[in-house]
Amino acid sequence: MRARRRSLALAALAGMALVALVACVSVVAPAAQLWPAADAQPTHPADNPPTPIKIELGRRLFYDADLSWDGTMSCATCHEQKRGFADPNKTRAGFDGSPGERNIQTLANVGWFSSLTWGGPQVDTLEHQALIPIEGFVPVEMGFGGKPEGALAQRLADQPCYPELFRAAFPEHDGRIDMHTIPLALAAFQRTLVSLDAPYDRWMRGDRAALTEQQARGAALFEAKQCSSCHAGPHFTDAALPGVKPEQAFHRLTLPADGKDAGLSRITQKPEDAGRFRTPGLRNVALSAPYMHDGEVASLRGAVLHHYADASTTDARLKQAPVDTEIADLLAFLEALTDQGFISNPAFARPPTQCPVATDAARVREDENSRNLHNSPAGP
Amino acid sequence: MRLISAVLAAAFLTFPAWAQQHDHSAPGCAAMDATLPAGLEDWNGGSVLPTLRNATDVSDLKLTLGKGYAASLGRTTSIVMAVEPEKPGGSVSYSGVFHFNIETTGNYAVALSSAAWIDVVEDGKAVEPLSFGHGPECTTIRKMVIYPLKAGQHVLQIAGNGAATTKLMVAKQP
Repeated sequence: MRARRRSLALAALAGMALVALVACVSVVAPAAQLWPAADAQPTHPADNPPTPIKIELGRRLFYDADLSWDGTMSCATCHEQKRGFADPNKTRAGFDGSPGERNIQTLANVGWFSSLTWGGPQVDTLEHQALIPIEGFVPVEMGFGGKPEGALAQRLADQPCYPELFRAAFPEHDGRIDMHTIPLALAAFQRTLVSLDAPYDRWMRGDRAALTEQQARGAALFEAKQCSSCHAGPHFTDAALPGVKPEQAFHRLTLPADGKDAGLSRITQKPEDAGRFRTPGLRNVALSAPYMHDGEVASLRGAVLHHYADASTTDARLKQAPVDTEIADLLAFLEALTDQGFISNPAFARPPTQCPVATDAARVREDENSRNLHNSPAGP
Repeated sequence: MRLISAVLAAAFLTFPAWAQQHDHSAPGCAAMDATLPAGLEDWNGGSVLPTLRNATDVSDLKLTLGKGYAASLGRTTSIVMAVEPEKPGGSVSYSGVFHFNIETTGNYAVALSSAAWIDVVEDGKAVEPLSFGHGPECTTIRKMVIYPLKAGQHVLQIAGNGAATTKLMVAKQP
C-alpha cells in the first residue's frame, strides 16, 4: 500500500514536471551544496577531447580576423571579453556591411548549452555552430560562404604558426587544417569560457556577505516572480538544464509583428512557434546591452519590463510587472551576476602574437645557429 | 552652423559611446554626400595619402585637418603600429599609420568610409574616445570617432580594413 502511494506520488510529480516543461522548466533554487564550484567544467564530447594545445589553437583562431573573407572580422569582433563575450550593437553587420539579424549572445558557460542560437534548436553543438558565422548566408557574417572550397584552410596553412599548431592539436587527423578541425578547435576553446565566480555564485556557495541586502532581495524576487522558470539553474537558462530538450528552451514573450523575426517558426514552420526564442543566459548580463533577440531594448530595466509588454498574454507569470522598488532590487541582483574574473581572465584574452609551438622556420633558425656555432672557431 | 552641429551631436547621442563598429545604411537618401556638414565639406576631396610603413617613420607626409583623403593602406602584417590595436585585423586585411599635428587642444573627429578600427595615439598611448557612431545621415562617412586631443603631434592608426584604400578625414569639432 505504502509502495503504491509512493508510486502515485512519483507519478504525480512526474506529471507536474512534464506540465512545467511545456511552458518553462519549474526550478527550485538549488541548495548551496549543489551549486557548481567556480572551477567546474562542462563535459567535452568524446570525439573532441580537450588538450591544452587544442584549446590554445582554438583561442588563436577565435581572435584571428583571417577567419573572415577580407580579414576584418574575428569571432572576438562580436564576442568581446570585456562585455562577457557579447557585443554592444543591436545587431552586427557582416564583413561586407550587409545587415545583421539578431543580437550577439554571450558565450559564458556556453559549453553547457543544449541549443546555441536564438532561433534554431537544431544547432546543438559548438562544433556545428562554429561554421555558421564563418560560412553562413542568413545573415552573411564572416563571408566564406560561396567562396572557393578550402580557401580558409589554405590561408591558415600558408601562415608560419598554424601548421605546427594543427599538427600538435590534431595528431589523430594528421594535423589537417580543414573545415572539420577548425570548428573542433574553436569549440574546445569555447568550452573553457566558464563564468561561475560572480558574487551570486559565492553567495550560493555559502558566502553570505557576497550579496548586498538589496541584491539578496532581488534574488528572492527573481524566484518569486518566476523569472527562474525560464532563466533557470546556475546558467540562468533552461537551455542549459540537464534533461531539457533543445526545443523546450524556446519561449514567447510577444507575438512578432508582420514582417518581423518569427523566431523558432522560421525553422519549424509551425504558427504556434511564432515569436519563440531560446532563453538567453543571464551571466554578465549587466555588461551585454542591448537586449532581446533583436537588440531593440537598450537597458536592463527595459529588458525586465519587456517581459510584461504583452497585455494580451495568457501566461500568468507575465501579467504582473514588478513595481519600481522591485525593479531596483531585480537590477541589483542582475548586477551580482557579473563575474569580474571571467571578463579579465588572461586565458580567455587575445593571445600573444608569438607562436606557442616551435615552427619550421624557428627550427631552421635553430639548426643554422647550431651549425654556425659548430663551425665557428670560437665554438666548442 | 549651429543647426549642423546639433544634427551631428544628435547623430552621436543616438549611438552608444562604446560602439566602435557600427553598420551604416542609408534608406531614404535621395543622394549621398549632397550636403556635408561644416568642417567636413572636403570629405570627397580625394587627396592622395599613402600610409607610413612604421609609426616612428620621419616623414613630411602629414595629414592636414579638414582635408579629405583617399588614403592608401598596406597589408596589415607589413605595417608597424605605435600601439597594438584592440582589433588588429587579419593578415589579408589592410592597415595604415599617419601623422598629424594639432595646434589647439580640443575635440577632433576621425571619419572613415569603412568600419576599420581607429586609434589616435598621444604620448605613446591610445586616446580613449569620447564617442563613436556612424557619420551624418546620407553621407558616405560610415564611421566617426571623436577624441579629446592635446595640442601636438599625433599618430592615427587604421587597422583591419577590408580594402587597400579608404576615405579618411580628421576635422576639428565645432
